[in-house]
Amino acid sequence: MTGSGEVLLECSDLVKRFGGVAAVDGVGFGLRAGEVSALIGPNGAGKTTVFNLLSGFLAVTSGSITWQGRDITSAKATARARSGLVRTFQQPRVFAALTVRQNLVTATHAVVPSRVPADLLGLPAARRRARDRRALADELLDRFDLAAHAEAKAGDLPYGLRKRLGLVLGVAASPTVLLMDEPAAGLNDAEVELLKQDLATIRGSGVTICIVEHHMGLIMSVSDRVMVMESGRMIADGTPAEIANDERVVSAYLGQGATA
Amino acid sequence: MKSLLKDRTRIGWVGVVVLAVFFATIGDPTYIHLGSLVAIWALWGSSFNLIWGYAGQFSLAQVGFGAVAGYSVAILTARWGWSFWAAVPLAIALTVLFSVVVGYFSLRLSGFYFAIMTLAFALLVVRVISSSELAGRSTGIKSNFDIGTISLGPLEWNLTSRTGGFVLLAFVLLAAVLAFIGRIERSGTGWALNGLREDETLSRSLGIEPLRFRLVGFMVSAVIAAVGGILYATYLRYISPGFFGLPAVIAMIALVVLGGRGFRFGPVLGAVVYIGITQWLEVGGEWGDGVFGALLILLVLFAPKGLLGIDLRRLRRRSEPPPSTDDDDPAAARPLPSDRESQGVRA
Repeated sequence: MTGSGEVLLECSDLVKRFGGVAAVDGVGFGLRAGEVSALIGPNGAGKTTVFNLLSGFLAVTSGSITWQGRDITSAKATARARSGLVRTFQQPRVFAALTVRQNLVTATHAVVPSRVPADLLGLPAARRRARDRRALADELLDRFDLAAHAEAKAGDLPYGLRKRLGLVLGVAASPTVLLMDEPAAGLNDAEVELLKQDLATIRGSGVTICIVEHHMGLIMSVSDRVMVMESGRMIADGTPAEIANDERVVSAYLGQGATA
Repeated sequence: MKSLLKDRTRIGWVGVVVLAVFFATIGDPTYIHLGSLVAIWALWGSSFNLIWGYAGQFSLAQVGFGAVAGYSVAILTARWGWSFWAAVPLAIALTVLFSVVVGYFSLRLSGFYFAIMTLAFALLVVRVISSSELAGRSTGIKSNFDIGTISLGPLEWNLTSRTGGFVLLAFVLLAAVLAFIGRIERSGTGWALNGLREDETLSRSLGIEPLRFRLVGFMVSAVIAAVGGILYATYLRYISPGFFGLPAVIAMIALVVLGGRGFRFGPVLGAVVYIGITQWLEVGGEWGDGVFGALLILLVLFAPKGLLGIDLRRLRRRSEPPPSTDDDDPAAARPLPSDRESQGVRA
């Protein structure tokens, strides 16, 4: 364990069965404030399923999830997101018909929640919140160098930029913990370098990060801690150096010839 | 881009004012008829445009909401002797209540099932009305509402049906609805609805509650439909189940598609073209709806975003090769590590 902050998110004995198959079979770990951790493992190990359970997009079969001291095992995904437990997706999810700026304005919902009556009545508070949203969006456009694309339709962006926007949408929701599902998938080397910078920026703003990823170069350079899953179970948990030398990990995952 | 949108809004408002002035002052009964129908259909279209164009919910219940509101006013005034202005708020409240019930049951369903469920509600309303003695069964109710006149100092505004004053009233209500939709467009509620239309999963991951915002959109669209329904009954001085059947549902969809889904002024343009072809030009005589249908098919083929969705600048640049963009399917263009676990989750 390298993180020294308090444990923000903790899960224990997580089990998820699809029919008779246990995709996640008794997984437990905690994420400490300020830490960057990675969750790796071969395809089908259950990594994305763990993210879906933590973010509330799937219900657990058994086990429990504690978030900042509260039991959120059965809380809705939307409530978890609004409380700062935010996830991103492996495929680049963006609001395709909206511009980049509009995407960011929409994504600030968790920070500047909509009060429906004020919006419908056009009260000054609603106008103030609309201003706050635009200001937040502008700030993110600057911080992540997206200003040049602000008025482009998100659906028209090339793959790498769409992927990046998907990540920034997660940041726009003002996460305390950001669960990132394969942020490097499909990116070229230059884009992975950019992603490393983005991760540093996000971490620098005090966000705790957990990444599911196959890109070993990225994981080894950004992570404080690496957790390894195989067949729904956690088989190792340690610093990148420890993991690289763990025999079980090497045979289960790295040994498959996969360094990509 | 931004200025273009601003221009579009300005042109839209100018168009509404021009239509209102033209139809309200010309004095000819034919034009009063056409003007009333344009405003009423633009209202109904706006109701459907809000729930489908903005919120992405293909709701076929809008005409049913119009029927609930129109009949509520007709029954309250003609049967129970209420005054028109007292009946209207109650009718709208009843419609909103009804929309909450319909929405609660149908908004959890996705796509096709939602459309069928809402259509079932709309047809159920017509069925109940046509078999109810109170609602005059299939004959309907004479709804000779006494809306009276509004006096503003020396100016008198006669609101009686089939006068220029009534046409003006209809356009003022339409303008109010359009302004209201503009306010929603710029609000957080509007962004939440847009987000849900584009990608529900992504919206949820950002804390946007699907049922809550869709129910709000549904209720607001029901209020707009209610205004349209009440105006319709007021204009015709008569209300019968025949107005609220499947043909009305189809016309409402058609004029929104024609004008441009998700464009605030789309339903106004759609209503002008729809009424223009079927009522004014009487193109094709009895086959007016057929001509309108053919036009619609051509439009969907060549300008799927509707009349307001036609990008004039792109048309002008047509001779040039289109700008190269990435393939729509990134997985095909760039190999992604296939992850069976995530596919399993989504299946």
